[in-house]
Amino acid sequence: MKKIISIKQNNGAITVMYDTILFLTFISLAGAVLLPAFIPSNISSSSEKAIHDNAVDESLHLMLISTSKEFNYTIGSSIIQPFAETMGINTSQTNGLYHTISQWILGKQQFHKTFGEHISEMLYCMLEFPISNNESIKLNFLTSDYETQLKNHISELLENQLKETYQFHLVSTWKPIKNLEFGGTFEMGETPPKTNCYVANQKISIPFLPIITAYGEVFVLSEHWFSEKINEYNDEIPILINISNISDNLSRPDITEAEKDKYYTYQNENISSLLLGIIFDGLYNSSHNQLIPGVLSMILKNYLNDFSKKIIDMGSKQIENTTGYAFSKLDSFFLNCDDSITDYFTSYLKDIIIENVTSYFSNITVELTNLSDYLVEVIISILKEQFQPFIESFILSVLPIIQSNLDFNNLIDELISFIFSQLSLSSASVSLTIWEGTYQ
Amino acid sequence: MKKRRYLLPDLSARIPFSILGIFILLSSSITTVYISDFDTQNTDQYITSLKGADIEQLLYRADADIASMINTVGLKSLQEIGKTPVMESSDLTQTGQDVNKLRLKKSVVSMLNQLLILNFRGDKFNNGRYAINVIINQSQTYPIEDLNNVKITSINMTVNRPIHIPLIGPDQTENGETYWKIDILLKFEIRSLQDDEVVGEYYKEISKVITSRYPMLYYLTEEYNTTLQSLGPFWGFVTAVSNIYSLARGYKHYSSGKPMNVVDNKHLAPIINAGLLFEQGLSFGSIDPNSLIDLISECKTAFFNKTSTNSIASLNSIDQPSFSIPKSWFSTIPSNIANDDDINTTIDQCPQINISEIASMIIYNYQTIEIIFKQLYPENIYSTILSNPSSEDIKNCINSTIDDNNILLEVNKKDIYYNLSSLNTVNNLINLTYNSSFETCVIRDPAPNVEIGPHDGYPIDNGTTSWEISSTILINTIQKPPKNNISIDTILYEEIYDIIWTRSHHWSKKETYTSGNISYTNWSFFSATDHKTEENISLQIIVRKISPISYGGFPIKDVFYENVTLDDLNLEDTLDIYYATVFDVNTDELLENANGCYYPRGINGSYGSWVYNDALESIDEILDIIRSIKQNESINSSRYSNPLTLLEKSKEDLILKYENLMPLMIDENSYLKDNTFISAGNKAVYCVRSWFVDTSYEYIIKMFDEAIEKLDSSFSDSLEEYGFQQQEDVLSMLDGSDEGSFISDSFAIPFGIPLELQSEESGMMFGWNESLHLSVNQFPKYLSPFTEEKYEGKDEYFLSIRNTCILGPTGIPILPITPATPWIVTLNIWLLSIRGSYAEFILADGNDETIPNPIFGHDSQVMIRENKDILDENGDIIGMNTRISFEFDTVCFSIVPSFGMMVGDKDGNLMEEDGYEK
Repeated sequence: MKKIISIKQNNGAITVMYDTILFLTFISLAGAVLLPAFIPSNISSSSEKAIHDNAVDESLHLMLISTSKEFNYTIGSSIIQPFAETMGINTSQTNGLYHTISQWILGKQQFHKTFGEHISEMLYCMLEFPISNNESIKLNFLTSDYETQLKNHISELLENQLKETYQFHLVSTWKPIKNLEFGGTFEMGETPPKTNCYVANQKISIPFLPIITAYGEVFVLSEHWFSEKINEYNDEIPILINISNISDNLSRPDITEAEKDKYYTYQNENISSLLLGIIFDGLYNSSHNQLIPGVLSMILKNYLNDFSKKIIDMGSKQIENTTGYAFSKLDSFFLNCDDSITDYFTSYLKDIIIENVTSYFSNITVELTNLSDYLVEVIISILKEQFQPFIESFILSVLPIIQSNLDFNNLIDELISFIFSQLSLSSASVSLTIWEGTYQ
Repeated sequence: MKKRRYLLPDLSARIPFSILGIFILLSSSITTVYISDFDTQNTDQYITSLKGADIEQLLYRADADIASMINTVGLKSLQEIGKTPVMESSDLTQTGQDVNKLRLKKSVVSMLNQLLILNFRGDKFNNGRYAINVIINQSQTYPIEDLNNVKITSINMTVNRPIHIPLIGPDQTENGETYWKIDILLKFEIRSLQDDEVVGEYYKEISKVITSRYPMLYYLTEEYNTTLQSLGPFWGFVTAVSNIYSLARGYKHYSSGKPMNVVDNKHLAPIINAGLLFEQGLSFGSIDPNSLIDLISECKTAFFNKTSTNSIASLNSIDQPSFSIPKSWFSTIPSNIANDDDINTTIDQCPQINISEIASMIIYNYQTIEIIFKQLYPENIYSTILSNPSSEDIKNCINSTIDDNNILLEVNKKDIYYNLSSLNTVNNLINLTYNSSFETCVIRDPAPNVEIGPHDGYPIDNGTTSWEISSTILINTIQKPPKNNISIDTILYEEIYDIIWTRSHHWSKKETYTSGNISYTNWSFFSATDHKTEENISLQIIVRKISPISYGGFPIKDVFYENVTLDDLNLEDTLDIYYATVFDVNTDELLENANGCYYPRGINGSYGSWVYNDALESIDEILDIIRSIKQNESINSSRYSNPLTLLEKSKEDLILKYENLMPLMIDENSYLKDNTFISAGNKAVYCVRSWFVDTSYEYIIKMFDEAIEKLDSSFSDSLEEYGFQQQEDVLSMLDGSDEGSFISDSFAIPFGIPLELQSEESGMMFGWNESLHLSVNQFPKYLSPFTEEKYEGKDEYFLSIRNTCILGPTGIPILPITPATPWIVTLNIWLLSIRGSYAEFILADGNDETIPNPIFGHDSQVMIRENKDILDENGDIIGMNTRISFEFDTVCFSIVPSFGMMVGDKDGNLMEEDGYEK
């Protein structure tokens, strides 16, 4: 017969209770100890991100180094065709001489170039600049088909690469000078969502060569060249003389704090002027002769001189050497048919160009021969105004340099180095954003 | 006493839970430590791999970007080099292209250095974690200073031209440099932006194919320049077309006396310009359209004497990417215009060779030759008659008479008379037709009956005398067989005789008497008469030959029977003559001892006078038929620009036509019926016809062969005399062009057909094909030897033409058989010396417009050829760019038939010279 022992009488009951409590305590502790092991590791979470990052990186890189088997576009056909029609030519006749010659002349084809090269060349030839806070214009209206065709090709390529898993947005920007809405932008694809996007960025070179001809001289837009030039003219340019003098004063051992503050203020003003001079206005001697033109004016002159020269020379021999003979051929083709047509055509074309370029500028009429200077002046004034808010932040950025009590040469070198770090003359960024989703 | 209970000795207790808990705690701690360690290791590995991939991707991107920069600067450099290429290096150990490659290296290095400093220094090329910087060695200013670190490799492709015409165009397939690949060795550092320290340094050779086809443009312009040189395709074109022109103009001159200036520089200039554009079209697939418009305009001015009325609409109506120039512009029309004909009249370009003249020489002679001249001012036509002149007499007379005011109009042959030897031949042929050959044959009795006379008592035969005819009896006479049963070996007459022969036959007998011992012999003699009878001895007249003439192997109807209706004895008299003169007079003799055939004789029969008359009339009739033979018009100067071939083809054509007309000329049906000549007289006429047809045939062939041979030697002699050693080339080229499709109707100048380029690895993994659509621009648009063009402030002729009429104003007659017989053709030769150049020749790559241009998207790569010193960056001359130029001599010929005008420039200016500085 089993002996029944009541709990009160059982001496071991307490022990069992303690045992159970201890056991539960140890289980709890063990659970706590094991907890980190059950939390998903960094690797698995970051590897998922890495897959997406990798996809976007690969896609961008592949796209940039891919070539298109056939890449065709036409230039200026929207101008030539209406003109030809006014001459009584049936432009719809696909086997006619007009069609043959216009395709031959205006049709362009590219072999072997990568899309990276195409994008950079697109940016290079679609120089865009603001005309107000909200508006900007593209100088070049002849290459719209180039842009369209490039977008079509890239879109096809990326859609093939990304399948239906991702949507994309590609933007490439060339801003030769930071903070200035001046340069070129190439953008395509859907607007990306604000979250869950994967982005790849890359720098690509622009076919803008830093060796340019403007004001009848050859300039090299490099730190080295600027340093040399400034060293050459440092005794002639008042701003540089000022900076040098202030720099000397600041390094004086007996300088008071009040004087220091005063010199820093002057130095800031001089350096602001130097900055504006290097970028916009150029540097002048005391007789107001320009010794070193501004980077922006050099770029614009280089572009616009070329532009207006080509338009002015339309129909003459000079254009043949610069425009792939397209307009010259067409012009000469008309010329031989009837002399008066040449004038008619060139004036027709020039009117269109002037209308396209100057229509944005508050009814200002300008002669074609002065178009280049006019545009440089207008654009620089707009950009300079746009740049004003950034001067203060620039001064703040260079303040440590100013206050480091460097001698003049080192100070100028540091400043030029800093200014050039704000320039991106021959380099553009390209950015691809992808996100999961399917195309409509 | 309280009983103490201990945990271990407590029998009621199991293993306490707390002990288990301790174990669980310990094992969980170990597990956690292990997993944490594992996780840490994986994280480290993962981070390391990310870091590696990060750098790797950055390197790839740097490579791609620098390659793109190399292309940018390469394109820019080639753009400049294309505008100022060095074609001839100042350093004779280097080719022009070697210098251009060196220039490319220097230019690429100079610009790339600037770009590398801008984009690959100061950590500018980075991905936020790492940066790639190009390293500049301490002693250097730029990343690349040693040109040995830059290599240029050629990429060749095969050019396939869509249109190819052998001999007068460049090769259809060629292999040439198309792209250049640049390899540049650079040194980089990888810098960690976070730690601001260099992670690693490396060398990298970056390669990039410069996407400009400048090397191909260079190659093609050089190729075009080569095409324009002596013995090249352009030379071939000018030779071929100028020969078409000179042959057609020469024929016009021959037939009408105009134009006076057969080969005219005014016309050669558009021909040369057309050739230049044609070669341009074949070489590049494209031409300068303005030049074509100018050419059309100049052609119309030169050939049609009117200015161009082109309009956009009319040009736009051209629905093919090519323009056809009819060859008639260079041949038919010029002659008309020069001759003041109506614009739309056409001339026969076919220099007809009159073979009836050759045939008539067989039967006729000419006593005198009348040379007709024309005096221009005051206008007067007069002639000089030469009696039995030699060829030299004719030539001297012409040369001494013609001058600026006196031209040769025509050479006529007068006072025709029959050639006596030919008349003899006709007579002989008739006589031979009326000739028969006979023989007399005797057939004797093979077994005559011999009767020995009785000689009883006289047994001993002492021989006989000879048989002698004692009597001849004509038993029968058989006359000639009936009509139509006479042929060779037919017995035309027969006499049958019996002949009795006698002879004395001597016999003897011997009688012996004995008288005592003495015996006596007594001989007695007796002569008997034997008789022999030969029966049916036949004497026959057998005809062995009837009308033994090689023409016409058919029998003559009713031969040996006079055809009274036709007044033709039909050889009947020949039998009578034979009988009377041979058979009858020899009958006795033959009867006596003949056995076989004797007295073969040919006997000429008589014929009526109509036979001779008909024979001569037949010859005239045949001459009329020969005169009707006209040379195929397709055998003309346009199609066969080689005079020798033209003459060969004329010969072939005329001979074939002659052969086809031979049955008509012989007119067999008029003389034969059922394969039998109607009569001997008909056969005689037939034979004369056949003889004349065959003789003319042989004679014509012989004359042609000799003419061709002499023409050939005349070319050699004349060309050699002028130091021109290219006869074989000229003739073989002209022969080759005979079959050239462009000559058949018109030649097309394409103005925009792409060339196909095929990489050498085509078909393999890295092979590719592409097209090359070129654009051509040239100055001057039209090369004129008559007006100077102003170029760079200087007036200059860009085309010079000198044409010299080598064989004088009359040319030389080929094959003068006798002074009284015509020559086959008259030949003249013009030596053309042509030189020219383009002040500027620009070739642009029309479809791969690869050089970035901020205004037009892209510019073409161009290649400019002009005379210019090329300087290096220090202003020193490193070489010359040179013009596309050409300079060569060629010849053109004209051959015209005999009679009419001889051929040559009769405007008094045998050497025409234009485009030379005065």
